[in-house]
Amino acid sequence: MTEQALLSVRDLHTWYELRKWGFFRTGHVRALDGVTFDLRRGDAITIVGESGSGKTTLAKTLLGLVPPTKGEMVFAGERLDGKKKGKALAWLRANVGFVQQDPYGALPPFMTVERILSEPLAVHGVPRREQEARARAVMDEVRLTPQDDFVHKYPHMLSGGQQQRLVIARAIVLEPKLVVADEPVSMLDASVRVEILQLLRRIQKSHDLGVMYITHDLSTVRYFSEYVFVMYAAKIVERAPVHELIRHPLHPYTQALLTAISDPDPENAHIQKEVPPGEPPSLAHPPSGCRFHPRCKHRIAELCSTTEPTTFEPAPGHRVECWLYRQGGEG
Amino acid sequence: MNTLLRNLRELRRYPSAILGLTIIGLLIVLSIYAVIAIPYSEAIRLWRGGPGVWDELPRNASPAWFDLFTGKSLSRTIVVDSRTEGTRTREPLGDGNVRERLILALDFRYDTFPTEMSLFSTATYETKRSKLTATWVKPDGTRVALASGRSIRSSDTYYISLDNQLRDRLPQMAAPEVALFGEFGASSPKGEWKTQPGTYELVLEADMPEAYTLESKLVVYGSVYGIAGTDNQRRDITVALLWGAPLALLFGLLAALGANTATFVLAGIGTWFGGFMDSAFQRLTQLTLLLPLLPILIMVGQLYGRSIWLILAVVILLNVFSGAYLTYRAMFLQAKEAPYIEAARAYGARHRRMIFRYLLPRIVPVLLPTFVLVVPQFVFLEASLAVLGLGDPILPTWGKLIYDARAADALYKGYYYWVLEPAILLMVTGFGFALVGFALDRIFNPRLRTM
Repeated sequence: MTEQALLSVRDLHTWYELRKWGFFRTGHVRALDGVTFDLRRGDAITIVGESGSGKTTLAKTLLGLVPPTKGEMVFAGERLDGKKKGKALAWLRANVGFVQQDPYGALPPFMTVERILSEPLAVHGVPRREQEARARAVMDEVRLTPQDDFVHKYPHMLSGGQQQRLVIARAIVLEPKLVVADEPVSMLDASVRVEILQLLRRIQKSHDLGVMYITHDLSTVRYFSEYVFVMYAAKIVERAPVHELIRHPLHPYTQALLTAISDPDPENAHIQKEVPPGEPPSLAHPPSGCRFHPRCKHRIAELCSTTEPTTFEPAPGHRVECWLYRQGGEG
Repeated sequence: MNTLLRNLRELRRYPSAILGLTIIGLLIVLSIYAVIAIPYSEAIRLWRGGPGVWDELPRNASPAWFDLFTGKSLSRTIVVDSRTEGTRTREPLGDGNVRERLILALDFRYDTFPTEMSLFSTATYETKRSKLTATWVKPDGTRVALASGRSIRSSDTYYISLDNQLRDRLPQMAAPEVALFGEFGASSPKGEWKTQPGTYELVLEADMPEAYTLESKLVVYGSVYGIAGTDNQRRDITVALLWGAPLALLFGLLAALGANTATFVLAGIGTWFGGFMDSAFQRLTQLTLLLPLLPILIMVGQLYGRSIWLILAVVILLNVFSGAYLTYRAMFLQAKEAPYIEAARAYGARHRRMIFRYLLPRIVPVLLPTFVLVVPQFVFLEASLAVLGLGDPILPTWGKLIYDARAADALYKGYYYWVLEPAILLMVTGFGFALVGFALDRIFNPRLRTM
């Protein structure tokens, strides 16, 4: 897996400094605390986790928007350490596309569709004559057609779905190898979510793209990726192929997330769902041992609260960081 | 850009803005007219004045439309020049000499007396032997001898009003311009002078050799002149009122544009890079806010020069880190957090592009009302400096008019028009920009609409 990995992340840490009065350092928020994974070209992975679990920081670190504190990222054979400048950084940025959560906010309100799509090209020195042709080509790919109806429009004249398709078009206009999609559908109407995800999936297949899909909503995962990584409190706690994860969730947190999915079933009105008590922990002062232990109903006394769990692989390709699986089976 | 235009179109919904735009439009038309009708060098020459420039204009004359308020017909200036009118006869005296006789006739039908009379003569001959004789003929045929014993000279100005010898000979020892144009009536117990309407004649006689000629110009100064009146140097105030418009607008617009744009761009740069640059710019702003603008400008005017361009440059410099910096900074801090900024960084846009293509355009619409509102502030600043005697020494501006009027004690002497005309124009200018600025503010800051 490692040899053909498009992106390989090893023990990545991103800590934000906490300061008092602007200069006294009083500690860190550990937004990413030792994340390791590989992503192959042409693969799509999903990162699932609730707000504050570090998903967005992971995206920003990969895009070079936030410098990592520690750890290693290798993208298409190039080591990235967050200190890249000039050409190397430009190369990274041309090769990683970014799709944000809020499509309206992600588009400069004072630029036309054509301008928005030409901007990344202009930044990377694509000649002006070529810009228009390439902008029109990606518009065709994301089904913003006929192009003539759209090129002179401003973002506020488009619907939410069209705006997000424009954001996707902008992310792929430089023909990147990897696209990071940070909650691309969470702010859209339920009616267009599937459409956008299928569009992203189709583009991923046709361009042989690596896609990192970040979401808090497990219900959208099945439309998308091969692999799912579950993040909790700045760490990846479980990783498995999509269907395996949905059918046999191992980590108590994953189980809780799956229970929380709201399916449009009238029966749900009568069922009181079991959700873990409490809130996600503060990342400035994470709990010792397993970070989920204060909320976990299966916690093992003494062990979970003192020692961080290591990785277990109870089924092939299905790895989990939880002491319950220390004998290799269900505990 | 089209949001900007759409918002501007919304101005039509505010009657006050329409009024303001009309005022600004009229000022612009006035400025264009001024620059075309009186070219710059001509305006400078006229305003500098000097001999020969304003000879035919009355001193301290009110505007001609004062007629409407007094109900009387106020005297206008009458110029009779022998080169274009009047009759000339030459009577041979033998031995090659002639007696040249010029008769300058004028029709006077006003209710008030002239304020002054002067006779400007030029002759191609100079002699002390023969004299110029001038005789005034009133409509009733009464003849008064003027100018006893004036030599014929190549260029001669005879100030009839100041001829004290003449005055001694006139009835009641009245001023010449009164006695020559009026009759003393017994309409009141003490008696008073009244103007006598009709045709007057000035008969000039000079003896000289046949080859030579005499030309004379009689100017009877009125008590009113033109649209705006004249000052104590006989200058037509209209010149300064007209030229004041382009100068005021130019100064106001350039200062507002220069200072505002610089503040805006620097706020964008400072906010984008943050850290040391941002702090430095903030400290500079706080420092500038403490600096007293007017005393500094007075100092510059005293020590370095009073050219309008120098003052403009100093005003712009002192306004770069103005209070607006903090307002823009607050807006940029907010705009900097927009997701599209992050997106642009993610596709690799560099600092200059980020600032000028992404950060600044977002705030431009907010810039507009501020810009329009500060224009009159700078117009007033320039006028204030001129009133304090620190205006550009050669340019006719509204502020200079007020300065001159104050120096000549215009208000004390009752020449209200001299002060009021420029003051009203300044007020109207401020009013126009304020109306448009407030309307723009309402359009671009919708929260104000509910207040």
